[in-house]
Amino acid sequence: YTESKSLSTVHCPPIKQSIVTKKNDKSPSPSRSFDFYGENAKRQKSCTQLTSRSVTIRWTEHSLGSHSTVPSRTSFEQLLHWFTNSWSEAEQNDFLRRLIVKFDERQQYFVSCVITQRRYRDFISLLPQSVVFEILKTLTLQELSRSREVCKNWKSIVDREPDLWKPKDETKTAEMDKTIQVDWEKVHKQNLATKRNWLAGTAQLIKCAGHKER
Amino acid sequence: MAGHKIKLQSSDGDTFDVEVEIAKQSATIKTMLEDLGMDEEEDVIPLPNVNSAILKKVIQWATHHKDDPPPPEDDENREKNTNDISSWDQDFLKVDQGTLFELILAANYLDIKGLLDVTCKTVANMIKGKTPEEIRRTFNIKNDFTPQEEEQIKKENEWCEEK
Repeated sequence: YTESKSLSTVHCPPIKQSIVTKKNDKSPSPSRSFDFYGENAKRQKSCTQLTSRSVTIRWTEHSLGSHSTVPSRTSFEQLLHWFTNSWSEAEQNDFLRRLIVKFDERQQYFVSCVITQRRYRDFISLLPQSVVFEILKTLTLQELSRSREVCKNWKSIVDREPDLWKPKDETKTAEMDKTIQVDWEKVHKQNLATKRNWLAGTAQLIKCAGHKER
Repeated sequence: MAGHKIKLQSSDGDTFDVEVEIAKQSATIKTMLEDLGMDEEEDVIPLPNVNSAILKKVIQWATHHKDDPPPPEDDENREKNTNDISSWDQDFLKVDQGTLFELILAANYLDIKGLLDVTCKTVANMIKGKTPEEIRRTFNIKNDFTPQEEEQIKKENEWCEEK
């Protein structure tokens, strides 16, 4: 308890101090301005007001109530603050490396779940319909067909956009009367089936019988 | 006009000073400034749908592309080529899927055509040339078809598979 208490007295007043100065400072402070090309962009991340405010609240709570968990909470915030705002990328990586080796199996599993959630996103199922259309319309017919095979949701999304199967050739569509509804998927199927039959040599001669020859 | 700045505020409360000309690549912000007659000097434009990390990325992109010619009007029949992503953009978009997803939502909300275009192409390129199983692995998607259903769709798709 004494140790954590001393921690809080060491760490907290400077935080509050910095918030007070920030509040008084009307002009944008240099640490919050944005530097796009400088290396400092990564290092000097703008200090989120929310975090600093919650730190103040916790610190005030501590000074009033004095509970042993509050100081560790404050150092937790302080650590996060250092991590995001003060440390260089190399320092951050070094810290993470040393932290990761301390994980037990359950923590490893937890972290890998969190990372998987960030790493993967089912764009086609989750994005707005208009955006999904922009993505799908760049696919070839074969790629579209394969997308239908991914899962039920993808299939229903591809199937709900008949325009995706329109020919991608500009001149062909320009000639077409746009008012006519065409089932492009069917047209493509027929064309390809014909082509394949010719290539496979399975085409048969159909005799069209007219009137009898004399 | 050049050099004038406006303040953009992210959903988590951070404000960013951005040159008006850069911010106007967003049609949403452009409309706010021009139609609603917002005072550039004083007002802060709140962007409740974009968090600070993503807004930072968006501003970085817009700053790099500030001198680009305006994007051509959307042509329905224009052939979409996904191989023309500039190397700067490719590098810029080397992010996890979560970030790419957020960027697309932000580009859509802010109506930045160039950014939406390049991010959509990036997703399309993650699908292109892959088998269904490879696509599932790319996006961590579960195959929820029964073997019978899968067989049926394969049959439906046969016409498109080059033999």
